[in-house]
Amino acid sequence: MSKLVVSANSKKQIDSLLSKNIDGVILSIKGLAVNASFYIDVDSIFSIDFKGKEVFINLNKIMHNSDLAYLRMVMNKLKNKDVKILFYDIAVYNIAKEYNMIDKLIIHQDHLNASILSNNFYSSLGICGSYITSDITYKQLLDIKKNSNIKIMFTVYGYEPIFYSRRYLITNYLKYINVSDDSKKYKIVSDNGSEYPINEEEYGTTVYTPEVINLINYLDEIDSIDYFVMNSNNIIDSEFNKMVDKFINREKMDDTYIGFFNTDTIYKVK
Amino acid sequence: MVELLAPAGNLERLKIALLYGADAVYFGGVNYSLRANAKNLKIDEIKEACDYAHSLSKKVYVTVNIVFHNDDVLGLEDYLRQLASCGVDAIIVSDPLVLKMVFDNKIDLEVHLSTQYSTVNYEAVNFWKDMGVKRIVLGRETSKEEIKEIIDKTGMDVEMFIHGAMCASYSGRCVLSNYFTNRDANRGGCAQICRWNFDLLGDDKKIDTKTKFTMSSKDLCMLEYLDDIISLGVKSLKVEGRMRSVYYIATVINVYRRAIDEYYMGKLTKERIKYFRKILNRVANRDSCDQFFNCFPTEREQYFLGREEVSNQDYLALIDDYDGEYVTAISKNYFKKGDRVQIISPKREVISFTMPDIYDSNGNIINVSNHPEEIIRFKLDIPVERLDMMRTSQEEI
Repeated sequence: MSKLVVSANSKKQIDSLLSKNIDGVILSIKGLAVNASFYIDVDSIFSIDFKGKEVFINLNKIMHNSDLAYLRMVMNKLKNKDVKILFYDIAVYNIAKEYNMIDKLIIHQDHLNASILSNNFYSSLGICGSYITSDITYKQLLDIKKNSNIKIMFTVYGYEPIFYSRRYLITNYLKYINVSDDSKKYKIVSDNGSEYPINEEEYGTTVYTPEVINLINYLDEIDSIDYFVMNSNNIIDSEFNKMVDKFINREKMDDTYIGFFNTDTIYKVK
Repeated sequence: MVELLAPAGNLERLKIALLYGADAVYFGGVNYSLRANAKNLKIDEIKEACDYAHSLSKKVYVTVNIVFHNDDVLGLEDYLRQLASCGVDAIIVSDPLVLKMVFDNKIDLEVHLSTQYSTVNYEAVNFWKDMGVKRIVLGRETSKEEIKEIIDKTGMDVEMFIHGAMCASYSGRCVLSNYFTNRDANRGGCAQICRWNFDLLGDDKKIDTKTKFTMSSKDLCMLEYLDDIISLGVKSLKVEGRMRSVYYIATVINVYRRAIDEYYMGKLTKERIKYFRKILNRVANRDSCDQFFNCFPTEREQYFLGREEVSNQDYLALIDDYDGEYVTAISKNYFKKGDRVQIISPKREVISFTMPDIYDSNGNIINVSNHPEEIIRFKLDIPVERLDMMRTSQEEI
C-alpha cells in the first residue's frame, strides 16, 4: 500500500499534520527550493519531532553558480541524517556523490522525467527514487513503476506548477502599469475565464494548474506507487488538513479535477 | 574561431543558412524534435543535408530533444543509428534516456545537451562532462559572469543562444500548452501561451482594466556583446528560429557572419555594430535586448502591449540565375518598376539600384510583380548570383 507524504504551509501546520496517520513530510529549504508555501532553515529541521515519520528535504531549485556553496553546506549537514532529498538540478547529484549520499536522492524535475527509460537512467546513477510528473497518464505512470527499480512518488492532491520563470513577472507588470499592489493571492485569467494561481517569490514566478488535482477516487488504481504526495501550496490550512483526513480514509468525492490522469497530451500537432 | 550555428527548418533553409555564413546548422527530424510544426527533415533529407554541409566543411546537428513518454521510445534506437549512418556531427538531447541509448549501444554520435535541461551551473556541467556529453547548450538565464565561471571551472564546450525568441520560463519547466490546448510543450507542441494576454487578479480583483498581463519576453539580440562572448571562450553562437523564413535566416546569419569576421580582423567598430543592428531590427518582428547577460531582466525586457508582430514585406525576390545581362528571379512580395531595391549576397556588399523594366517568363513587360513565386526577369549590369536575395531598399540605414 502506498505511503502518504504531505507538505505544509507553516511550522505549526507541520506539527498538526505529524499528529495524523501520515507517513512523511516534505520540507523545503530556504534558498534552495521553489514552488512551496513554507521554507525552513536546515538547522531548524533537527529540532522537529517527526514522530518516526519519514522526512523529505526539498532542494528543487534550478541552481546557479552562486547557490553552490550554500547547497554544499546544507548537504553536508544532511549527509548523516535519516532524510531523503528531492532535487531538480543535477548539480545536487554531483555534490551528493562527493559526500557519499547518493542513496538519499529522489529526482524531482516537474516535467522532464516522464518515461521508463528516463527513470532507468537516473536509477543507474544509484539514486533511490523518482517523483514523477503529473503530465502523464496513470497507465504510463504504472508502466514506469512496473519497469523501474526505484521508489516512485506522485502527486495525488495539490496545485501543480505548470510554468516557472526566473523573472519577477507580477512585479514587472505592476511596474509597467505603475500600480502599487499588495494583494496576497494572485491569479491570471484567460479569455475563456479559466483562472490559474500565480505566485511570485524570491527566485521567480510560478503558475499553477487551474484547479487542485485530486486523485482521491483513483488511489486504488495506482496503489503500487510507493509514495502519494499531497501538496499544501495555495490551499488554506483547514481545507488541506481536512483533505489529508479524507485521503487517509480514502473517502470518495464528487467532481474532482484529475489533470492528465486519464488523458495523454497531444504529441504530434498536425 | 567561434562557431556560428543556424536554425534550418528544412533543406532550403539549411542551404541558405550555410551559404550565408553559418558554420553549422541544427534541425529536427520528423520525429523526436521540439518543433513539431516545423517541416523537419526525413532521413534521406538528413543524409543530403550532411553531404551538403560536409562538402562545405560545415557541420550538422540534429535535435532529438523531446521529453519522451513511454511509447515515444519505439523506433528511437533505429533512428539514432540512421542518424549516425547519415554522418550527423552531433545530436542535441534533453532527455538523458537518449544519451544512455547512444552510449549503451555504442552508436557513433556525439551528444550535446539541450538548453531544455536548463543547465546554469558548473557542477551540473561537470556531471554531464563526466557522462560523456561533449557540449552544453546553456540555459538562457545565465549571466556573463556565470558563463565565464562555468567555462573556467569545467573546460566544457559551451554553446549559447545569441539571437531570437526566448522562453519566458526556464526551458522545459513550462507546460502551459498542455493545460491550455492539450498540446505537449515538451514534445513539440508549444503554443506560446506565454505570449497570450491575461487579466491579473489580486485577491480576486482585476488589477488593471486597460493593460493586459502577459509573461512574454522580448527577443534576444547579443550583437553588441559579441566581443564579450567570444572573449569568455564560448564555442558556439546559436541563432534561434527553425520556423523562420529563408529571408530572415539569410539576413540574420549574414549579419552575424560579417560581425564575427570583422571582430577577428579587428574591424568590428561601434559604427559597424550600429549598422548591423539596424539591419537586424529591420528583419525582426519584435523588439530585442540582451536579457540575462548583463543584468537581471526587468519590465523593460518584457512585452505588455499584446502581439504587435508585423509580417515583414522587405523580401522581394530570390535570385535564380544571371546570364551576364538579365537576372531571373522568383518573386516573393509586391514590387514595381522604379522602386529602389537592393540585392544582398553571402559574398558581396549590398547592391542598390532602381528597378528597371520587369518581364515575365515569356518576355512580356509586366513592370509590376504581384504574384508570389512568379518567375520574373530584369536587366542588370552588376553581376549577381543564384540564391542572392532582393529586398526593399534600406539605403537610409
